[in-house]
Amino acid sequence: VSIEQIEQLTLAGIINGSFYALLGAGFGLVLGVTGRFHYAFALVFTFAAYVASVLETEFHLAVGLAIFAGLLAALVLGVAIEHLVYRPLAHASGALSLLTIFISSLGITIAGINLITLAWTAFSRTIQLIPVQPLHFGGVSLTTLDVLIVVLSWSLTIALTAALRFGDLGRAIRAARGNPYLARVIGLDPDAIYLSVFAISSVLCGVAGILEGARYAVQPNMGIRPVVFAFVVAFLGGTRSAPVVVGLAGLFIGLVESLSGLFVSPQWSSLVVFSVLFIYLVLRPLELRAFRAHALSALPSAES
Amino acid sequence: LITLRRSRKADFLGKKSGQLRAKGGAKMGHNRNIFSAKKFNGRRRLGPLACLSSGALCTALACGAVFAQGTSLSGAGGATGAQIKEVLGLDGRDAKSLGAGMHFKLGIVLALTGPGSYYGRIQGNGAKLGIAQIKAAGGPDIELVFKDHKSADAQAGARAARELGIEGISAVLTSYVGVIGAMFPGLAQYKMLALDGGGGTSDFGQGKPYFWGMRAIEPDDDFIGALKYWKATDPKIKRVSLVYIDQGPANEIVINNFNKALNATDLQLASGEVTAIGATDYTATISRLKAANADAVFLFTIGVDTGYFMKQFANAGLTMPVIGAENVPDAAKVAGRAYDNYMFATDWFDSKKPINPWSKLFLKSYVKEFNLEPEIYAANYYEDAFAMWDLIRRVLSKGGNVNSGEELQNVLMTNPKFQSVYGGSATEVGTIELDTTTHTVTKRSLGVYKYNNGEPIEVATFGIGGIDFKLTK
Repeated sequence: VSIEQIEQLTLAGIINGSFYALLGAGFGLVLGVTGRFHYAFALVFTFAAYVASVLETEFHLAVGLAIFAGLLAALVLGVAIEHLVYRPLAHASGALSLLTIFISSLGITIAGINLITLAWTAFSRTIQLIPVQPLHFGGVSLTTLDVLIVVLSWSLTIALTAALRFGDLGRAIRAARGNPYLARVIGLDPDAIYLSVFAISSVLCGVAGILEGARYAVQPNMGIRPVVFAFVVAFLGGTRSAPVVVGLAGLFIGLVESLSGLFVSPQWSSLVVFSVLFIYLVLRPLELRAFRAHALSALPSAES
Repeated sequence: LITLRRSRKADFLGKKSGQLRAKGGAKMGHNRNIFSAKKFNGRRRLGPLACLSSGALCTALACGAVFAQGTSLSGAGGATGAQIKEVLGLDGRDAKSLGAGMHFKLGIVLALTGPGSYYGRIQGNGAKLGIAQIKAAGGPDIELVFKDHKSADAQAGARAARELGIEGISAVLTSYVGVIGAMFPGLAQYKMLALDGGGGTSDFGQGKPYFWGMRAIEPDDDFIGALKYWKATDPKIKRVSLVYIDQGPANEIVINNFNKALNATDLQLASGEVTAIGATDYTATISRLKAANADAVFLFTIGVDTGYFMKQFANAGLTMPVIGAENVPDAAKVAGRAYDNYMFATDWFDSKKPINPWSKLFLKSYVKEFNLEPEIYAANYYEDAFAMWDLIRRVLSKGGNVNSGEELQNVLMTNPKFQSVYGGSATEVGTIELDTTTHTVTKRSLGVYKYNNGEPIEVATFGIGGIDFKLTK
């Protein structure tokens, strides 16, 4: 193992970790506030990338407009899923809502991915976000797009943390996350807050999808792996933690995943990541219990 | 509430029926005018009728001309039966021996969903064109029974084999090497003859009952051609790294065969890097390649993964030559300009350089049918459909039962040779030959190709085992 190799893998870990931070912050917000296991995050991720790519490459729209349309599509889809699917299900299934929402979310994702394939075929697409140029520093290399990913991911994660800490909507979200009953008593509408949470989370997810599309390619199944990592990061960071804390967990996961390549074959990096989650859950089962308790406590707000 | 609703309904109906009556009265009052209009319209319709009659006459004449040459069925890409029979040397055969009027169910197990659906679509195109042309040439009416293996889902593969077996299907075109081996027990149990034109037999499917590989083994058969090419063109290359996808127990066979090819060409192994199928991030692999300080890289990744690798390889500033075992246009799209450094060695169907009369006919009809240039997977499933027809004809000539996978395999064992769109010459179609013990190809045309401005250009040709290696001028 050479120093150069360690440097390169650390840099790759920071880039991937920043991306996981953004994903984890968006996913963790929904999980922490609404208690919904929003697996369809994968579909929102994919849909944003597809809309941006199709508008940019087929309709020759300016990249900024295409991105805006992609984010808007993500927002609409995320909010529609909450409003039309999750909320009625939460009303209908009571204490079992965690499971029913997860299953419905899985179904929406599978159906959505197939519809995307039908509409735009399974062929890979691209997004030209910025001109991608390689940058070399000593023995390590990265691209201009990698720099954008790091800067944008952390800017959005920090902005979300600040908004939740100091903004009016942020305070309302924190109130609904803390105790939906009490939030209603003081005149807040948890259902409306949940919609806002889905809107914010979907935009973050859309940004991540478009970045992923620009970095690799836009494909129907592109959202599946990231949503799993988002889940790991959100759980590791804590479902009720500030986004920046979740982001740091994402950074940690990125570094573990990347640096594991020094000791094991890269094909086993996902195994290393899930081992970390497993060990964490064994050592800190309180997090799991706290999430379950919160998921159940969030129900009456929807039922009322 | 019910009473209220009923009364409202009655009101609504009353109004509606009144309106209808009023309309009916109005119509009655204008009957004469309507009749006159009909007469007038009848005269006006004479014109189109005359046009239709003339059109029908012209169509009949045109059809007469077409029938004189042979029919082209829809889906055959404009190729006529006469053309197909001429190319394949089937002129003068009687209809019965060709299987005319017979209905034959052929299973086809492809990646219709999931990340490999690119392959499924292209392979399906090839097979569909094949069966349409077989019918046009007076062959049986082959019905393709599609099954989805969801891009190498072993359970889906095993289920597909079981379902096809229960349906009594005797022959099947498989992919992903019998969906990574999961179909093998089903094929043996139901005695279904399987031809795999997607991955051949690979290392783990050799000699399996009823399972036959219809292409060169990827990547093993490609190694020697790539290494000979480097040996002939770049004497500085001494140490070569191998990057290959994880195939479980077959990994050892792959690395052993690579070592054998290195020994045969007097080169050395720099490192062997295993990657996961469907990986997108190759940072760790590329970092290991840098550390290994290889002079060249042989890359065995599949599908669009190759595009991801090449993109990141170029961004990492690596410039050493890379020869891969596979090429798909989708990977080229993903990699963009980074693909211009990519070369590949395989049994590629070169649509820019169709060699034999059959490959020319296939190319023309495929482009016409799908508005897309064919590549290896389309060509393989096209010729595999014809290989099945060849077996059907052989069984029929012996008076046997074509719905028996055992009889189909017996005639294959007797003469393991088929016509091919690969190889051959300007006047003769190519051939593909199989080994009756390993069930893999022993004769197949392969080549080394280099990407240039988005198009693969042939730079060398070779056969199985590296025989007849020749640099293309």
